[in-house]
Amino acid sequence: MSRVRVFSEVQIWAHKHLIHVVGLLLFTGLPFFSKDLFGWVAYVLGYPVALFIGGNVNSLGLEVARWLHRLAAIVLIAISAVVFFAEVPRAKKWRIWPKNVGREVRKLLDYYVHKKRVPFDKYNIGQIAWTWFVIIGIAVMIVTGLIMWFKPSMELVTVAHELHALGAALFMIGLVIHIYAAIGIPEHRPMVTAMFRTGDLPEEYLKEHHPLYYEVVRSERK
Amino acid sequence: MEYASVFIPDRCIGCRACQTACKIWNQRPVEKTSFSPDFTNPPSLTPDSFTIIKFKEVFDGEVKWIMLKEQCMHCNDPPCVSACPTGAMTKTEEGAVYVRPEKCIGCQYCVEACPFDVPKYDEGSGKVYKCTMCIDRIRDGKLPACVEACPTQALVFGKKDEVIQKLKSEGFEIYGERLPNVGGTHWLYATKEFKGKLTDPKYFGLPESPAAKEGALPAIREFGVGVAGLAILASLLHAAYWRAKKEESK
Ligand code: HEM
Ligand code: SF4
Ligand code: SF4
Ligand code: SF4
Repeated sequence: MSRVRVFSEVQIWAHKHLIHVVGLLLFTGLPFFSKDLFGWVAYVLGYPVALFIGGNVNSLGLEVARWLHRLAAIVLIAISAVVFFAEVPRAKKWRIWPKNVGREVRKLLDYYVHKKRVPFDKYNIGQIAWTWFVIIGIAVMIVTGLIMWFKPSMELVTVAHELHALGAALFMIGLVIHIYAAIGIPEHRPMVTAMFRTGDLPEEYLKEHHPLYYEVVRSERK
Repeated sequence: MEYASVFIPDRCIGCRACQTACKIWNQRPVEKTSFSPDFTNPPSLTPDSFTIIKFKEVFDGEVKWIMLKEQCMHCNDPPCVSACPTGAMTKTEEGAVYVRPEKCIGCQYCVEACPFDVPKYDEGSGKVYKCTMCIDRIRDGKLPACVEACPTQALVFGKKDEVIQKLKSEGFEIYGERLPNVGGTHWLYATKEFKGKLTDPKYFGLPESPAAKEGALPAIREFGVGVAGLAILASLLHAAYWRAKKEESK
């Protein structure tokens, strides 16, 4: 069976490392976000350090979290730069421009609620919304994060802090849905393989789930 | 038992004995000052100056100097304490709010949250410092260092309700007993001479309504945790629903 390339090497690389780095950013940001639910992170990070240098375990952990958060932030900025320079020149090929939003939302509901077979393009409207959220969200997190880090003025920091926390909240919510849609639905397994390993999908899968895009691919082949 | 300190501007002569006594008791180093046109020095609180006397020239028919002592207000519901992620910022049962330096990580969340612009970050140690209400002295039965040093009784200290009652019965107007967002404070301002002027920006300019600077932050955090939890639940439900549908269509 022939396969169709859907993700580039750069996309596979960026996706993999975004997982690592955003995972670390969330892990190290969450003890500041909710002491009640994620206070334990401070203990996990602080305990080994306290064994060596002594001191308050909780405070040490939060201090380690802050430094890891900043380190991860630098890596995130680097990854974003790579993606930017790799993707912007091929912007014409992006298929993330929303069209017919009302109809696309109905299609999405038909698929997830009524479990109907629905013709999607390369990305459904949910995937498009998520992609834009990630692009804008990471930009906002970087800008507000840098403001909180370098504190040009306390008024700016206050606003940045709220936006940063809102961004983190939306990332948490979005990631739950994103991860569920990817690995919680067994039929989507081929896409996971494509995103993490091969970068390509069986033609059959494309025909079944993304027939509109399949047509595009076919016409391009001719 | 809650305590309170009071600053009575009517009696302040601007000698700054309080400023000096505070530095000595808290072992804060001297700072290089520069010429300040209004004599306030240093011009604002610093990590090494937990209190300052602000000199202000006002014109009210004649030229007059008024003095305003600044230090931590020791809020009833201190926003700095709720903002602090480490528990370094602590409120005691006496009403004092102080930083435990060994726990402070210098994140400055308290600086962001304080409506009176009190906690100051020290680059050198990477920690935040501010007035402690001399909790270490109070617990030892002593007066706060600044109160003890004042030669004119412009500073008064005592049990909070007793102090307030006494001042009221003597006809003083009091600032800080009740305030929006912070509840009230354990540093009070009382005056007979400047009635109605404690919150007047042309005079003392104390905030009538201290700003709730944390803004939407607490609500955003609750929203994030709550909705992410709901999303997990919804995902699990959908997973079950999806599989049931699949069985159905077989
Ligand atoms: C997707 C990326 C990111 C996520 C999910 C994230 C998450 C978080 C969270 C949850 C907090 C705690 C907020 C609170 O409730 O107080 C936080 C704080 C913070 N973040 Fe981020 N963050 C991200 C990216 C960044 C970046 C790129 C930077 C810097 C360039 C940054 C710098 C900071 C700083 C300075 C703080 C304040 C706490 C501290 O001083 O360490 N973050 N972040
Ligand atoms: S004045 Fe500022 S530092 Fe002092 S208790 Fe109130 S919020 Fe905290
Ligand atoms: S700077 Fe120190 S006292 Fe202030 S919020 Fe951070 S840990 Fe707490
Ligand atoms: S109460 Fe103590 S720490 Fe606060 S201003 Fe007075 S002397 Fe300084």
